[in-house]
Amino acid sequence: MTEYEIISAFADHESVDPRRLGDALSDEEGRRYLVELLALRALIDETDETQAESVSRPSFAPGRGKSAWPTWMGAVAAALVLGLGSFAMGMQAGKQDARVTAVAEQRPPEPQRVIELREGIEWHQGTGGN
Amino acid sequence: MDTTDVEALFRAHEPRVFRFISRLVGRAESARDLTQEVFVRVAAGRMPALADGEALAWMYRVARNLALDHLRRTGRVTPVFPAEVPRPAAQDVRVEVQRALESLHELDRHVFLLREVAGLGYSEIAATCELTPDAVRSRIHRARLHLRGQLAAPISHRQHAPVTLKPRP
Repeated sequence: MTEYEIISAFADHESVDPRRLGDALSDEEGRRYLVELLALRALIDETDETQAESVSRPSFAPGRGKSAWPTWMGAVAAALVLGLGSFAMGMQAGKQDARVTAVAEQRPPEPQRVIELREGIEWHQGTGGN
Repeated sequence: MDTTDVEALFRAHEPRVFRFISRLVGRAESARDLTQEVFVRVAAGRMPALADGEALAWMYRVARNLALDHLRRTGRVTPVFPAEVPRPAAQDVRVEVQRALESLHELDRHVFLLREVAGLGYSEIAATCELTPDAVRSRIHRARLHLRGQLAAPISHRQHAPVTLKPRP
């Protein structure tokens, strides 16, 4: 183990021989290495763009495996989407029906029988007929 | 390791696993997915019965393998930010650090990040990367010497601000 390795291991909270560490730190280069090592560590830490982030973790039940979370959540999500979709479609259809009804109510009813008046045809009701 | 222990492991290490993977793959969104995959594997009971330190090593081995598979699949070897895009100074330093990390030998980079980002001890890193603790110490030291050369200017600048010998996480 070199002098620098002892300093490096000490900075990593590993066990080192205190006398060898003392020797390493009695050297100016060794002390500079320790300071630079700590500055490097701070630099790595400060440039970590994910530092403030957190993983949006699934609330899994240990032992139940991968399928436990996605399956029931997927089913709930699908049911919600289906339910809301159906509701929205129903509302839309209801509005369309209402519009059609309102327009239809403004017209006269369609004739159920049409009687044509043609010349030469006696259209008066006779006796005994219906 | 029972289910309570698995959940405790999940809660205690999730941010650090995420940061470790993020440094390896260079993209937060991919790292997020991969981190979830690590814990899906842990939660699915695929973790063998191990002692605490070994369980940690196993989990980081899964994280490392998933990150490596992702890099192979996507073929990403380029820096996170293209060189020609103008960036603010803070982002310049971030890119410089990321590039310096990427210039390390792959195994040295993993060992270094397991120490600095994941906060693992030498024996845990040794178990994760299937090395001896002496080899871990030597690789971490070599990585630091390399980064010290690559990042001389930002390190020098950073020495004007306070530094601490943080307790091991």
